[in-house]
Amino acid sequence: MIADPTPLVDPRALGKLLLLQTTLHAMQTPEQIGDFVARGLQKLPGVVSVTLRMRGADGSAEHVARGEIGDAASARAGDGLPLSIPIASVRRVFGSIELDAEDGAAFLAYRPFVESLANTVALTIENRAHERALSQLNEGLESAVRDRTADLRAANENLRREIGERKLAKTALREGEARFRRLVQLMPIPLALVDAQSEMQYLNDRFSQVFGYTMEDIPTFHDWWHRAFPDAEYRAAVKARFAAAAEKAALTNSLIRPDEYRITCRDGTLRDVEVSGIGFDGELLATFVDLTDRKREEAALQTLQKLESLGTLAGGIAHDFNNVLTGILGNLSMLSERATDTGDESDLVREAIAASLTARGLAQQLLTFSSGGNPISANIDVAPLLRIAAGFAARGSGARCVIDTGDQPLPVYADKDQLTQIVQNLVINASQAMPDGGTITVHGALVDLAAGELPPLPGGRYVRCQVRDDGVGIPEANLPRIFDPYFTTKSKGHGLGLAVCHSIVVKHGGHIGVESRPGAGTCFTLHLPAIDPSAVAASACPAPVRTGSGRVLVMDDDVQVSRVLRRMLERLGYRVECTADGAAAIAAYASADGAGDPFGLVIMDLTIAGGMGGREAMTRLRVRFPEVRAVVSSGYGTDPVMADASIYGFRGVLAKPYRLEDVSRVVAAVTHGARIALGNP
Amino acid sequence: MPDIETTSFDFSELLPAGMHLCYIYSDDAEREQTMAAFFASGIARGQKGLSIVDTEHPHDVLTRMKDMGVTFAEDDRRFSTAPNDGAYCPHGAFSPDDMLNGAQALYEHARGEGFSGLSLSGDMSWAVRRKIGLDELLRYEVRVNEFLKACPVTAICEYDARKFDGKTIMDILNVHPAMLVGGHVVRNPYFVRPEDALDGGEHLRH
Repeated sequence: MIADPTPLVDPRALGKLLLLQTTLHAMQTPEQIGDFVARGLQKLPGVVSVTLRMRGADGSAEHVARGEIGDAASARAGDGLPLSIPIASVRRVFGSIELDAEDGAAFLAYRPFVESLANTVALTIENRAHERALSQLNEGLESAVRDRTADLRAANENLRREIGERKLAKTALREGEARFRRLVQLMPIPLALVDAQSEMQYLNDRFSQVFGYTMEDIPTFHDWWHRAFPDAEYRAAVKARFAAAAEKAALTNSLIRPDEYRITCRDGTLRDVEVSGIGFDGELLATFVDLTDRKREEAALQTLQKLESLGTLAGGIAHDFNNVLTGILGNLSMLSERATDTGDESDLVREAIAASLTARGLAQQLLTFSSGGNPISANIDVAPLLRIAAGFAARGSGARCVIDTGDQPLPVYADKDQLTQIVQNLVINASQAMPDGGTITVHGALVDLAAGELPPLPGGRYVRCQVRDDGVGIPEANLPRIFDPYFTTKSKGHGLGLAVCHSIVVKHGGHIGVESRPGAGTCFTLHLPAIDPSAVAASACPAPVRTGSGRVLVMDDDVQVSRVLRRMLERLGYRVECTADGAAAIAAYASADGAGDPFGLVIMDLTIAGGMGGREAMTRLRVRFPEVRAVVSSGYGTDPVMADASIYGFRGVLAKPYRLEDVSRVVAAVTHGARIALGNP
Repeated sequence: MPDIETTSFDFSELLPAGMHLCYIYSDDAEREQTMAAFFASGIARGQKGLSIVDTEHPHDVLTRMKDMGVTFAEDDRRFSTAPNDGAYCPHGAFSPDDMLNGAQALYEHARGEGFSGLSLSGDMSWAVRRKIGLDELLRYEVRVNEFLKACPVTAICEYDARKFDGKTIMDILNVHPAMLVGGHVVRNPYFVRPEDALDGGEHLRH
């Protein structure tokens, strides 16, 4: 019997080989594949042992997998014809399958399938190697992408932060710019910015407030020159000075040195301005310091200083003048007592007295001017004052003066000389407002004001005095400042006249106001509190010269004054002792008192050159002799002691110069007696 | 003729009730597609599906099922998931009795609910994590074969080839009468009698 040369293939074994082959795709490592395949091949029919020797695709150490299972397998033995099938791909040999079967010849039928399995094993190992390489590559790529992404994210974050910071910085810059612009806008100094093309770039608010110009008025530097300096000759000079200063500044890289110019504002007014500047990036920032007010104040201060020194001088002159007048007027008044009512001598004396009284008024005005002191008030009728003062002030001007005071007295308690000064100032102003002549109307009347009708005056009866002209009038803009000290529209005025008027009226508890229309004239109206007319009528009656007896102590350093006063007092019946200063007067008073022949009255000059004056002497006398009766006398009629003599202990005031009747009246008033007895008769 | 029977990969043909399949895989995407097709086929045949998962979140499994075209109502009871530790080791240690009793209760409950049967898959990765011995695992798989004869659940045991060594995989093959290989359900030529299969006794190795 001939053996079949082709052994049969067991379909079940073939199924196992196929299952091994198809399951390999899930295997991962050469070791796992080796173990799985070795164990699977071991279960083929007739297989005694299986050994797989394998290396990974990376050339790792050889792994040996054996398919024997337990003692049963090892007990069997092969036929000595083992199969060795390489595990290889077209590129590489990974190892081999060594398989020992009980019947090697019979097992040959499976060889193609085992070889196919070996190829699949090789391909699987190779695939896994490729997958791992690919995976590593992917991981590398992913890592690179992750790193790059992280870098990009960090860069984005930095960028976002930078953008945020820049936004913040931009906002801060914008706010800073706005703040700076606002600051510049609000700066109290005018500023102008001009670019390299001479275009005006910026004017701050203060610039427009001071000069009136806006960007529309002066769009270029050229426009500025022509508007601010309309006079061609002055403009050329200013431009030359400014150009020289700018050139010098450019050379020294410094500020344009401040220089003073007179600038014409948009409304035509002139302002003295100090201009400086600084150049940067081809632009010019000019600053303007307005000196107008400062210069006016300086001028006013100088005027004030002049006035003060002039006032001191005038006061001294008036004082001396009053002393001289005291001698003249006193003697004239005594001469008048002796003269007959008719005849040339009497007329001469009266005229001399009248001239002396006029001189006394002038001296009083000098004192008022020099000190502006408190009023020495008395009950007076304003009507004759208006007539005399206005007529006197209008004399010599080209204006006609019409005075209307009515028929009734205009009684006030006021300083006659200060009121005179007011009237004269107002009339003089009116005449100056009509350089080509016109009419000045002075009107006086009694009026009743309701409460609140003319704040701050309370309701009541007032004497109203008005001085009206039909002159040029006062611009409306100037009216609120018309009573301000040193405000004047006159080229030669010192700006004090109306201010002094205002001050005097207020001190008298009155009010002064003004109405004016340019081209239609001006009217000043003052109101003074009215008093009972009878008080004026009584004081208006000349008091008779009243004689008396007793001792009077006179203290005056002017010998002429002392002499005439002694004569007048002696004429009135008194015994008189004269001293030259306060110390001597106190000694004389004490001595007389100690001798039991005291003085009933002391008349003391307020000011003693180089010695104790009346004020100090009175203070000392009152300490020792509280009942001392004293009258203060002075050529400084506006001195505060004269205004408020009772505060200093004096019982009366005798302003120099004085007449016999003045002395009589004052002495009588102080002693309260019809027949005066001073001390021991 | 090879002792191998195949059915289509999409399980459109009837899988015999009580079939015990072994699925060796190493590709997650392929596994997800395979298991979704398995459950979709079972549900289409009126069965209830239960996937015993390892680390997957039940929501992800449902999402994949939906991606496969299987739509579920919000309270749908046709498919559910359970964690493998809870199914295999309900008291902290591997308990084949608890697992099989649970499977039986599930099957009976499904039938009681009107389902035609139960499709069950079990991810066996827990066995590696818990260092279950190969012998113990093989004995369990042998018991499953016996269990399914009485309780005809269609069951798939999922073995991740990345977690088991080659020898274990081959021994596991020996105790499963059918396999999913290359997209096919095949009768397993390595399937051996229970007494032969339990000849090893080695511990599982990762």
